[in-house]
Amino acid sequence: MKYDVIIAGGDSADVKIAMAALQAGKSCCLVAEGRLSGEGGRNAFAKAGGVLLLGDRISSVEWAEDGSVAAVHTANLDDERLVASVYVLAAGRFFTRGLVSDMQGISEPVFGTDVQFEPDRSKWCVEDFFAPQPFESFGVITDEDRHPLKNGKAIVNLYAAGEILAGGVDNIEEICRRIISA
Amino acid sequence: MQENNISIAEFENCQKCNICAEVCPMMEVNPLYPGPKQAGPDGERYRLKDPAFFDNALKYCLNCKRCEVACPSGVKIGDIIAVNKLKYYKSEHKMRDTALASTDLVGSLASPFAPIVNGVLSLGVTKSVMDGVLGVSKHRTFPKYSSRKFTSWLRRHAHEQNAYPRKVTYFHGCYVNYNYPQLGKDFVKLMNACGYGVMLLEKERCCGVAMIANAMGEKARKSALVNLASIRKADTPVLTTSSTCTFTIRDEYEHVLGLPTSDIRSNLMLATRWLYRQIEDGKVKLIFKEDYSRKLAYHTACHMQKMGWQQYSVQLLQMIPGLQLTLLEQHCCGISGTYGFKKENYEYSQKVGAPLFDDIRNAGVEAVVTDCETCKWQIEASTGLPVFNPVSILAEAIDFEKTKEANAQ
Repeated sequence: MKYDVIIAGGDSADVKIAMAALQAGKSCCLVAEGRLSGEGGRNAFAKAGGVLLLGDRISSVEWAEDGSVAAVHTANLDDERLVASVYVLAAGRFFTRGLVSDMQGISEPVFGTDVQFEPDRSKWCVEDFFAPQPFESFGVITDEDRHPLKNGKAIVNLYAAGEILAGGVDNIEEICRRIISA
Repeated sequence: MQENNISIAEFENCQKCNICAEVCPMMEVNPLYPGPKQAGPDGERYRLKDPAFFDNALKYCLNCKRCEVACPSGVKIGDIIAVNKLKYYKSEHKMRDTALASTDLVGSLASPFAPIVNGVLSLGVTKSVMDGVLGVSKHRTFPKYSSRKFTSWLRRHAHEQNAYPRKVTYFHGCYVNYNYPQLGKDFVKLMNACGYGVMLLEKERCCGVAMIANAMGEKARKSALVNLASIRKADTPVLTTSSTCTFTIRDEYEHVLGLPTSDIRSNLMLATRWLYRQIEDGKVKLIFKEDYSRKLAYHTACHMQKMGWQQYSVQLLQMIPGLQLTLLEQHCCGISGTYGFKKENYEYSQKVGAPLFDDIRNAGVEAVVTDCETCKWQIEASTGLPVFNPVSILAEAIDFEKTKEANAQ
């Protein structure tokens, strides 16, 4: 199945980007495992002709030789190749499993992109509950065009958006603009 | 730290976020149902200590799986509930539940006397007696039985089907066989136009979904073993026209009945998935009638959404020129097979489906399309609009001769 845009969702930013893509006349597939706030938005997206794969997640990625994404597969549509010109990683942070943590570190499980985090585990959080928590700023590293890095090299047809970004940058509108002009 | 997960259905991954409770259509209308979180992962902690904690109100679960689709942590809430119902549920209407769930037995008995059975079942007095004595809602009308089974019809046409060099095998399901052979005939027409002959499995039993729902685990397992053995023997793709039969065999056999299905999962699929992929690979072509015109709405059945396969049906329908297709909001229709036929569930069943019925009435369409036969009964009874399977619409819309010619090698 071929689309202009495929979004690995989870973040509430996913549907904003998806709607922007649809409104710009692009075909868009949104893969989102859990339901979160913004449910009305997702229904509107599906009604407007967007392809909503709810309760599903990207289970594997096919890579092109130049390090860009060639296709993705989902858990439900395991043997189906989903192909797009642009992919967006808007999977949110820990709650929606956009980022996964264990005792050793933090990783991004869908595309395996580089994640910035404090190597000293004991410094991930501070005791004062109301203070800003260091783990909140951990996330995916991108180049200046918002392409996430994998082993230091930018994935040129993938954008990262929303909470998953390191440093908690709000770049949703910027990603919408980039997709519309892509 | 725990390294390996040893629990069923990932229940300890529950983060208590309550999203499942928010999307549960039953909890919204029925105060007696404790909801997916309580019935599933929360209750499981207690039941593991002592089965006496089993709450018979789990019977109100529709098994729509919307909680699983919504769960951000991958907890198989519906499976936890289904497994516990199989283990511990005691029905207060055992005779009724057995009769409703024994689709093969009742179908075989009713088919030879179809006109009489249909007449008697539709009488007001029969409905009152069944309501009072058995506990089957008098508001329900049973689907009509066909006097000629689909399998008898296909066996009579076996010679023509064998003449096709390529074949597919059809898991028709109880509804096509005993009640609505027309869908089976539409499937055969569509496959023949694509250049494929249709065969039957060596043996086919009810997929068992109704038996699982009515806590008849042993009977369900027996049927499942017969079906699995036959599907394993099939040397062609095994295609279906019912989303629930497909989901039950592919997923519920393993998750609820504990029978491994990983070896047959990729060979058993809805006809629309198979057909879409044949077209995408350039192996099959559909040529549609030039003067075809219809205004329809597509309803995504719960199990279809759980499998994530609605795109196959929708995209095939969207290939038909002259078909104006409205996509309905994803909402449970409320019947859940035998569930909605039970007297004590009728009211809840209709309340669950109400937003969908409104959506359909407002869509201004002439008919509805869905991949599930029990959604069909519910939507037809509650909106008055006819409901078709996508396969029937495709069979109606194709130019049979031209499509056949295009696919003849």
